[in-house]
Amino acid sequence: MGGGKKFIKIINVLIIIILTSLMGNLSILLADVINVGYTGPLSGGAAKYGRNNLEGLEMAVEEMNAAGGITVGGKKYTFKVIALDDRYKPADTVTNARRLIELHKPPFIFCPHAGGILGMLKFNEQEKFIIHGYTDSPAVLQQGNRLLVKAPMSMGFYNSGVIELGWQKGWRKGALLCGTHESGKLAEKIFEVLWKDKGGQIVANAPADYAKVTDFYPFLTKVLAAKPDCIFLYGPSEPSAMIISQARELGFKGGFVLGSQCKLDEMEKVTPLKLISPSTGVCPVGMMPLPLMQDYSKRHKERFNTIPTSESAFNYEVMYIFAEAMKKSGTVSDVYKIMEAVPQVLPVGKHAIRGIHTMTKEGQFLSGYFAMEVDEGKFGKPVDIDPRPWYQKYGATWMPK
Amino acid sequence: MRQTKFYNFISRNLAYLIFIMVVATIPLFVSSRFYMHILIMCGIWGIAAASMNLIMGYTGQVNLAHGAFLGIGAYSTGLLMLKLGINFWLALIMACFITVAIGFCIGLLAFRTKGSYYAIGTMCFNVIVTVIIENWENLTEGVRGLLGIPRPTPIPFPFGKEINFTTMAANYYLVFFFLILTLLIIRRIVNSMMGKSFLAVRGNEELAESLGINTLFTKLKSFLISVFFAGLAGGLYASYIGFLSPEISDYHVTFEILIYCLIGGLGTMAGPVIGAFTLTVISELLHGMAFPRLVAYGFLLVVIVIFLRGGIMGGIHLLWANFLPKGKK
Amino acid sequence: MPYIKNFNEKDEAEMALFIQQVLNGIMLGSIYSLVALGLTLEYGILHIPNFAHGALYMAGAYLTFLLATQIGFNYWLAMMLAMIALAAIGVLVERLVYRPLIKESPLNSFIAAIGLIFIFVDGALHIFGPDFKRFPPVHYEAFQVMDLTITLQRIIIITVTVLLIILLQLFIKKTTIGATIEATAQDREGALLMGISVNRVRMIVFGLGTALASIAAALIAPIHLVYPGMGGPVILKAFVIIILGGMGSIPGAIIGGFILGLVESLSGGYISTAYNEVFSFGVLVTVLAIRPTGLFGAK
Repeated sequence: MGGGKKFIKIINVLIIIILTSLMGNLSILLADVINVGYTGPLSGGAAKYGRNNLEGLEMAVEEMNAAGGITVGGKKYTFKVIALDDRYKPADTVTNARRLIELHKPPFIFCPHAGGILGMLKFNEQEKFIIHGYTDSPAVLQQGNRLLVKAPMSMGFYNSGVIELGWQKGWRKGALLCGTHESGKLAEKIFEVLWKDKGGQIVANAPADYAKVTDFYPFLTKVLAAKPDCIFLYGPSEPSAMIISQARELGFKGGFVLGSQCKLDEMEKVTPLKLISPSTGVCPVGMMPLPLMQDYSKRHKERFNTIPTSESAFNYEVMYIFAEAMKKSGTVSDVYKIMEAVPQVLPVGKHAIRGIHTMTKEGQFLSGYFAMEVDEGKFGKPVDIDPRPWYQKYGATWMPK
Repeated sequence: MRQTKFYNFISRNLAYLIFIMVVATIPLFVSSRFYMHILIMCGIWGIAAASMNLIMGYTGQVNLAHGAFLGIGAYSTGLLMLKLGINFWLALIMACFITVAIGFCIGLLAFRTKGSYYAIGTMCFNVIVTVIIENWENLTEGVRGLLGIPRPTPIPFPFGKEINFTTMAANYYLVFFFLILTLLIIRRIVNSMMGKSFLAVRGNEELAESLGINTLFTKLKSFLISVFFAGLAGGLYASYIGFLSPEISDYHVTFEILIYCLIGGLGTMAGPVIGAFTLTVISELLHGMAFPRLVAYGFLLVVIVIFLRGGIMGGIHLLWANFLPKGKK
Repeated sequence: MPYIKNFNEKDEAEMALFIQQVLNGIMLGSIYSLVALGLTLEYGILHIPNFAHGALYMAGAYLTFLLATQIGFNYWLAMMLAMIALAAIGVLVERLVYRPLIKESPLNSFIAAIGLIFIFVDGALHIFGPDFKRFPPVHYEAFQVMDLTITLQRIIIITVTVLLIILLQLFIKKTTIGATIEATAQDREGALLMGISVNRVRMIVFGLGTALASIAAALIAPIHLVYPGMGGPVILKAFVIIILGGMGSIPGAIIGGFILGLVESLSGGYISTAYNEVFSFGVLVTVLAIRPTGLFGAK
């Protein structure tokens, strides 16, 4: 076979690929479908995080479609989610967003990482789409963009409740062992600032890349040498659980303060609760004592067979908020009108599973959460934490220096 | 006589002239901002790939630190603009020279090794640079990222007007101006005596040394030029996307650029640019498929590399050779 | 006298800390050595670095995990079966991907390896999902000796590593196949002239390399987690080790592995854990500056 023939073979393969991909896009021709865009990490290290975000969005859309769609201005509409993988790269997010605008014209695009959100903020007002930015980075709110909403509250808020519970247990000497990713470094600073504000001490700091480190012993040995009462952790649930079990192997008897990324119900699958005790953390979404949330968790488990998290819950609720805002404003294309209607539709009735009740002028949705202790192998009672005092003291865009 | 000279000039540079004409007229036909964005990204990666082609394709050194220099160029540009308020044009030039300076230090160290050691040694340098960018927060903002990098400063035009860079077309012309400039400069170098020494080193380093060529100098020269343009690509990226995070210097970026070079055709002028363009387009098209996208992409890579020796340009040359009538060269 | 008593206690604690970190470094080192062993074997016979080694390592981990949890095999049995499967996959990879590229520039093999990584990692992502999976704790007993801690699983890792190293050395030095492998690695044309089937040797050695990767993964999985991207950081460290120790050298891989383990553990413990990677690579760069072919590499 000459090289030329092989070349032609490859051209044939490429043509087939082009044709198959074009066929996937024919659905845009249906007139009464509102496209909802999603661009996030669906492969690579953050794939689970990206998928959790997408699950909430998909579930909301499936439910709305099953109910016959929504009626806006007398006309019926159904939704379609178009999800694209951006491998956590901002340049790819921009490419995906432009692709979505070009082919699908979505009024909303969901994105779960600050880099991608910031990239899109440069042209979303020009191209007229509303972004739901799922991130705890306050930087996105500081761009003065009028078409942005953000559901997760600032990390300072989530971690302050958890720290407070730890303080009440009498822990005073803390050690930091947080992840080296963007939110991990932010969490580390927040823990340090808030803990010292209360009068506590930080006796050791050993940041670790939770995903890459094979063995946490060197980090734990360093931390434990300083004899802390508690260790602050921040990173994905399963590696956090590994750190805890290895710390117990090394003889640590103190407590753990678990940041908002650590989900206790996911951790329980890796390390038994009696090893996790004593610790304080954020109450997992599936365990929140809210009937709406309990119902949602059941449906989520049935549909996706995974544990529901804040990522899916918030995106679910925000999608309903968007739908209600469209109904209220009477338009599916005038995004500024839809944006105006958003604060007016809060909370969204039986879909307000996370309880978003207000929106700040920058686009930050306010909701509460529960903190929780884990003691003697059992989950404690969820402790309700109201966001308003925190927001009055620190504001939506507080970042530790 | 002038006529013949003109005719010769056209026929030798035909490919380039056609390319320039196509590039110049595309914005007139393409109004979709999506396609323009893709073209701009292809242009930026094209510069990165063309520069890697110089050290790898023409000098035969498997340098795996390229992403680091793209990152250094990007961060230098961004930081000079944001923290020192320098305008884009000056910042870009300065960034390229900063990249060369750092490249000089790394190159001196790296060229003590050869072959696979050199390859993996340079890859380790790449990782070191990424880790430093991640951790030197006071300088680079670390993993939080550098945001709000402005678009290029408007160029004043006579009659009170100016060229500003808020439109896609303007950015497109900027990137492609630099791409064509890069290609022309590299072509000039490749066709010069310096270029011949590069090829000699690629062919057989010991032989070149015995012929009196100072191989270390030669390799270093090629390395520094390639690194200069890597920094240029980085600077353009920084200003266009407006946001930087340490992953832009990651060794995975190096691999992507390497793939563009190889699939396009290493050691050819058009190869890297064709590779950058083709693979970006293929990657985009694969979005529409139900099949796991990266599995398909990986499969394609393996198949192309095994069956299409010399990349796409190699394939084109073969086709050309197959279709020429027999007896004519 | 109280002053002297405090001084001794502090001294003792410092000593215990240091020894624990050294112990941690040795444990880490044996993990790294195990992975680097397979890689250096492959390099020795292929003369190009097998970049897909990390992806094959990951495949070994998932297979062992599947066999041990879904099918319920005993840990050691699962490890053996996965090892055999990985050896077979390794042979296939060599035959279908690396063999056709034998005459081309090593860059082509490099790109092919990258393609393989995409296929394996994204494939694993879609088949198993992106979650981190915990290997059921197999040997979780921890031993505390004076102030030091080591778990049974880690003792097993160190022991198996040492055993494998000894077995490998015996295999290569004392058996005919071993001699054949060494001959082919050193001089391909000469081996061909002697009637050795070079192709068969390539396949055997490559299969051996991937089998080692699988064993390493199976041993390490219980102390860490199984997830699609687990091969990435491991392969980078493995490359650092074989460069440090000299590509193709078995003692180099072992010593390099332990050096890396100790550097990481001690630099993290006493200086800063955030710059962990910089220290490891810094050591590599220093070694290369002095000996450009690694500690035991052929010139």
